[in-house]
Amino acid sequence: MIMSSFDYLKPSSLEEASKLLLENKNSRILAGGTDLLIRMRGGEVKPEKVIDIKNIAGLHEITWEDGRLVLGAAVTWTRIKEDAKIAEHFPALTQASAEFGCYDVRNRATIGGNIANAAPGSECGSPLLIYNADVIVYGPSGERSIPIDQVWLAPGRTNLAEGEFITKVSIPLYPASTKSAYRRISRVEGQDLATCAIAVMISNPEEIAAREVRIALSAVSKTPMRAAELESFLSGKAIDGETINFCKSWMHRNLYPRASSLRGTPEYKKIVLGNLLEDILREFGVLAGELI
Amino acid sequence: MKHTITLNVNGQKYTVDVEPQEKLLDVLRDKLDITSPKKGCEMGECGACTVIMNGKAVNSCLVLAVESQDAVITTVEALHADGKLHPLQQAFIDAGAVQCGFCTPGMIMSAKALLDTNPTPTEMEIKEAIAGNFCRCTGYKPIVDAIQSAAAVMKKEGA
Repeated sequence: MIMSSFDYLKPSSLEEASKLLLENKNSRILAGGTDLLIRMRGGEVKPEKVIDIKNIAGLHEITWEDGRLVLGAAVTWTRIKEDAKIAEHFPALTQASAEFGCYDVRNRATIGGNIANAAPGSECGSPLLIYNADVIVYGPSGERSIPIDQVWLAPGRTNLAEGEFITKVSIPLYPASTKSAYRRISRVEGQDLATCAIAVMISNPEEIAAREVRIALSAVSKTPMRAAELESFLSGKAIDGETINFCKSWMHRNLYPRASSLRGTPEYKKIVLGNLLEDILREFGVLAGELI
Repeated sequence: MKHTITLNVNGQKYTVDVEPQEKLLDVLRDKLDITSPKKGCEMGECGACTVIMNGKAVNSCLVLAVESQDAVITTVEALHADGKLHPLQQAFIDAGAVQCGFCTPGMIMSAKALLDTNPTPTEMEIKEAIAGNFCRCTGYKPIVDAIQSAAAVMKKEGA
């Protein structure tokens, strides 16, 4: 199908981009384009204006400031994947980047675009949730920061106001002893969307009483989600076979993935997520003894 | 609204008028007569349209032509020099990595982007690099073999 026509605009400042976005109700922000152009080609979205933000200074930068990693919205997944310092501090994000699309797609697709698309199984979802990232947006009233767990409302819908767009993602650094990981399964190895995915972070893994566990799940609800109940269950306690069995049964009792998914049945996803959680805890070395 | 863009394709500078909805792939094929990038899925899934843009392999069906202002683009057309095939092209022929040939230009550009940054890739790295390039004929093995032997030839030639 041929795309319907539109005007291509390339603002060079945040103010200009926000103004264009506000003035043109039927407009779309273009970053990497790997989702937007497909949806435009399919006729799913027909913007009259496409606003390319790649010409705005600062949106391509990866910076480390005041104990935080700040990724510009236009930073590509290839750059995230190849950044050794990100791998050192945020392994779950690096592991997600390695699963993301394929070479060609990673070379264009951006972190900001992935957040803005608000897909339930988005690669950035679970890692940004466990790291308590903040999404920085710019709009008519200037800059504001939205905690990541308040960004996504439903598939394709975010909490951004009119005229606002994502400019940065800011992630706090954690002590070196913190462990984190991302695992997903997909129908084929290589280029496919996640059937489901999980990210786990453990602070103070060596001191059981001081342990804080964070768990996020993707592709099992309308948006990527934190599993708060599981987190408080696992935090501050020794983890053994019995604990793991509770986690697995929790998945069965509390998750409601949609039955119409092309990629996996609800039952399958729940089993897989329990198993992936066990794998990660075992890798972290916090799982005592064998499973019963 | 038309835009006039200037881009460098295979060492030659082109100035061309494009509509916003035209893809880089359309402009290469229909306006510049560079037809090695193939139109396959047009959804960034098959990799038949892969070109190297500013040093990175990209799906040219997922890049608006207007976005390629000032870009440096390389396609298979630029690989042979002085009547001699590039080691990747020769290796694809020798290994039987070309059957119907539709995926070959994209496959070779993904392989080139890999070898440009990683001259001695492992088998897994090769598979990763071509994960976005579909081949429905060969079963991939001859392609991986070809990229491995091209890497060896290029290393020898470079040494």
